[in-house]
Amino acid sequence: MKDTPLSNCERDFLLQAIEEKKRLDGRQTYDYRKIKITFGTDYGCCFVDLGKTRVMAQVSCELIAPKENRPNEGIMFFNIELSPMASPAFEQGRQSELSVKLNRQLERCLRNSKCIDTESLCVVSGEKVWQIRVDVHMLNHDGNLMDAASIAAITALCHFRRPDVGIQGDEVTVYSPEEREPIPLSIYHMPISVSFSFFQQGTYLLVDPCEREERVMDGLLMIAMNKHREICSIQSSGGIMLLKDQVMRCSKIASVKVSEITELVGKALENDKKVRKAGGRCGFAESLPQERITALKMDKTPVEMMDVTERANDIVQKAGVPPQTYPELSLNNSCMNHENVSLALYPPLMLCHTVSTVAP
Amino acid sequence: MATVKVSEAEKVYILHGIRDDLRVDGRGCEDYRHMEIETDVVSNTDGSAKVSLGHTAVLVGVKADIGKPRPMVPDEGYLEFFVDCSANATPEFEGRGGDELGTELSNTLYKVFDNKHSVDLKSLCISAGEHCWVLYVDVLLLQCDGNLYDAISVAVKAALFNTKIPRVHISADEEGTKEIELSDDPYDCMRLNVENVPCVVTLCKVGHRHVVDATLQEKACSVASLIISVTHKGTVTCMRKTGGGSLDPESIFEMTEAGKRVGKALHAPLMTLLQEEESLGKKRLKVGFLG
Amino acid sequence: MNSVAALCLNIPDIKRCIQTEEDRTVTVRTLLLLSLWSCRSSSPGGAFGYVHSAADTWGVALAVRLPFIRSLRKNMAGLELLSDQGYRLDGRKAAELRKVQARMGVFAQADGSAYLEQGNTKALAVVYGPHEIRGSRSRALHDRAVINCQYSMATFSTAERKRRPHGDRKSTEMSLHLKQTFEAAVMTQLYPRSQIDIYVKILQSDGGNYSVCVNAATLAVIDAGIPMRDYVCACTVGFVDETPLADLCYAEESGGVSSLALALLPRGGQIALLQMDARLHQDHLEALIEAAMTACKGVSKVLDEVVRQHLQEVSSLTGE
Repeated sequence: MKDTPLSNCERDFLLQAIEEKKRLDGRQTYDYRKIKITFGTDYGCCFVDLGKTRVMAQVSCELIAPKENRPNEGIMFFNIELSPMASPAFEQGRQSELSVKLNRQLERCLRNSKCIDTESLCVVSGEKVWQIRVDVHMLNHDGNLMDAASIAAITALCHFRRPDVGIQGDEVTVYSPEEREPIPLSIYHMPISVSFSFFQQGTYLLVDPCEREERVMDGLLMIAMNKHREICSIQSSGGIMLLKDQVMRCSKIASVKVSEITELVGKALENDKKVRKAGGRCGFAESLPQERITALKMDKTPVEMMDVTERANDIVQKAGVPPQTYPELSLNNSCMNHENVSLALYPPLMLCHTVSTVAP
Repeated sequence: MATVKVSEAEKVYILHGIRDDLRVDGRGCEDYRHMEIETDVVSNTDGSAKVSLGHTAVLVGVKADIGKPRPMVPDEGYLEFFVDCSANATPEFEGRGGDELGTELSNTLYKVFDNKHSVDLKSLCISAGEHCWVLYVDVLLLQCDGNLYDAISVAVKAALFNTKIPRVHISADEEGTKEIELSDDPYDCMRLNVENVPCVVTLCKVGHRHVVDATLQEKACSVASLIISVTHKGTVTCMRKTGGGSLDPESIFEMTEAGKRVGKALHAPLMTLLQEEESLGKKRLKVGFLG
Repeated sequence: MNSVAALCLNIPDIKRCIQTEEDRTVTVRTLLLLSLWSCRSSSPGGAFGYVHSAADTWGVALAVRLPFIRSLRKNMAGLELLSDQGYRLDGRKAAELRKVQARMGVFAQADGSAYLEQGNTKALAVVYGPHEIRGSRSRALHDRAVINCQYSMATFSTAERKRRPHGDRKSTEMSLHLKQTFEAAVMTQLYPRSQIDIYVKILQSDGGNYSVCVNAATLAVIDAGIPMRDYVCACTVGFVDETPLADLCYAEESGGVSSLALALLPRGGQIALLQMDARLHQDHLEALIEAAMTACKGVSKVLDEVVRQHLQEVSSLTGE
């Protein structure tokens, strides 16, 4: 199924709003939407809400034979799944351009920056190593999937515990969590991606674009950084032309955003640890908001009713004529009363007439 | 397969021309187009050759790798063929579009080389049953203008001629485990004897006659063609009929004779040319795609 | 040039020396540096766009013997990418490009074609179009042309044989990047409802595949007579010891350097594509982008020269 196309009217409205430094959800230009991080019951399962965008990351591990050219390094595997559940535009089982782009960017962001100590994942050199697999599922698409996916993936990796192994001679034993406490992965740093969208040939710039904004943008710049202000990957996409100064400005904004998000992730992990230690309830079901109505009260809003006609008249006079988008009349209709037809097609104009007749 | 559209009038013109032994580009029925060959063009390979025949251009790279011999023939190495019909040649080959033609071409190459005499496979054996050289012959189609088979076979022969396989020394330590050591000296290498490597001659039946090295236009006029692989002595190693039409036995006999004649005539200058190029050694000016 | 030939002939001797020595790494490096030093003294070339032929010769000589390269690669971690004297593995200075050679109009059948080699990386680009949309019409855009790119690598282009020429994640991504670059550069609005195909093939790979592809494709697009806003030039730069290195070769790329690929429209200083891998401190970013932009401008000069020369040749052939 294809995406519903964006009407010209909507597009113009969005672009006009961006020009006036306004965003649909009331954010400022450089603001992120609300980020919420919750964890599943198991280790290594993490949900990230970025406004209405919602993704889930699940980390799993497996003992496998290492790659020939790297006998004592564990293997990292990343996969982003775009299911039709997130958006009707995503098709099942086909490698779309978006999916390739997201997958490669996540790989670059997390694997190439060497944020995880892969050598510590080696069990028996040349024979057995841990493969850490990160599956990111998109649950709801409301723009900026990359940032949400990168936060979810790195948080899930931080949260994950792998089973302990013991080696006696040639025998490798994997201990269950009851026998031995599982071990967390050793993580050097946390790269987090920040997306910038550009509008009107790069004149306007927004952080964390939502789905509507993504539809009208010219291009995207993704910068992944860690809190030590090290850039882990940069990727521009879409047919935009950037200037060097813009890239530099974005990198500065990114460093601020990354330190904020890192702090948030740290807090979330800390909280989860506390809850688990206290034996409290955790998991997906617990994190669902309980939408029960506990009270019903409506504030009275005073509405000014004076001079309504004058004001309406004023607005109507100032407003421009809407663009001529009515369909051409076919031959069959030409015998009809023209006045009637135009009445039917122009309700706003009609209104204008009635009001103006009343006003004087 | 790359095709061109030819109108009825053009077809008649081509047919009448061929009847009088005069082709559109002025050639006779058994003439090849202008052919250019250069070896050693890709330095990442062990042997390579670039051949252009009219507007058809192919690049062949040979890589030697150590592998395990086939269980049926433990004392022989083997050749692997792969033909990549890249989108560069024609947009029709984009994505998986060229796979079908690629498989067809590589299968023909397997058939052409499927005999004891074309390449001495025994010389590719390192230690019987354990290690042997595998020659990966990768063909890259750069441009298609008819007669792919002939161009590819000439390029493969030239690339095999150019192939330098490092010499190996097998040493066994006290426990009997063998160790293979490759010679690091680029001049200490083994060459293949390509004298018996056959060349393919494609004969297209156009009207009542047959032509060698058909262009795409001529191919469009022909109903069927015969692919014959011929050695320098004129021995036929493989024969295939392609195309939708049919051939009567008499014309097949005629075409085979012509194929043998043309094939023999093709081998001799090819070998002298290759040897001449080889003898230039370092003095040779490498042209590649820049010339 | 004499010293280059001497170096070539000396390679077996060098290897013999290496075999007798215990520490291969040190020997390779010292010999490499020694021989390159001798080359350098005989031909003083260091200007932009002009590259030392010794570097290429070395590459060729190395590529002949695969096992030797493999052994060299193992030692790569031990090799310093930038010597104290400021020379790189292949004898270049930090900001020096590899030798760029190119030719336009290689093939007659395509609408535009070009061959470009940058050091030992060689690419062939072919352009078809602008033509009618192939396949489903729904892809057509009413206000501009669709750019369709395919990147593939010859199976013999790398040291280890590749099994598939295209279709894996990396080549799909590369195709996407090429498409993005040329969408920004080609004046697509001149050809509404049509399609332009750009196919690039790497014949031999020695680092900087993306940038070589972009440079080759630029020439092919020009050869096809499709208007562009400007030349698109691309270059890969790395960062070692606080110094940006221009135009990385494979040995440097795989040696764990943080590398940045940048496609530039030099006249306006606009960046059509920016991509960076591996870690780099934010403070160094500016220097790296600056170096990449300078390198791209160097490439653009060479490309411009190639185009002018090609035009001259063609016009003299047609007798104008």
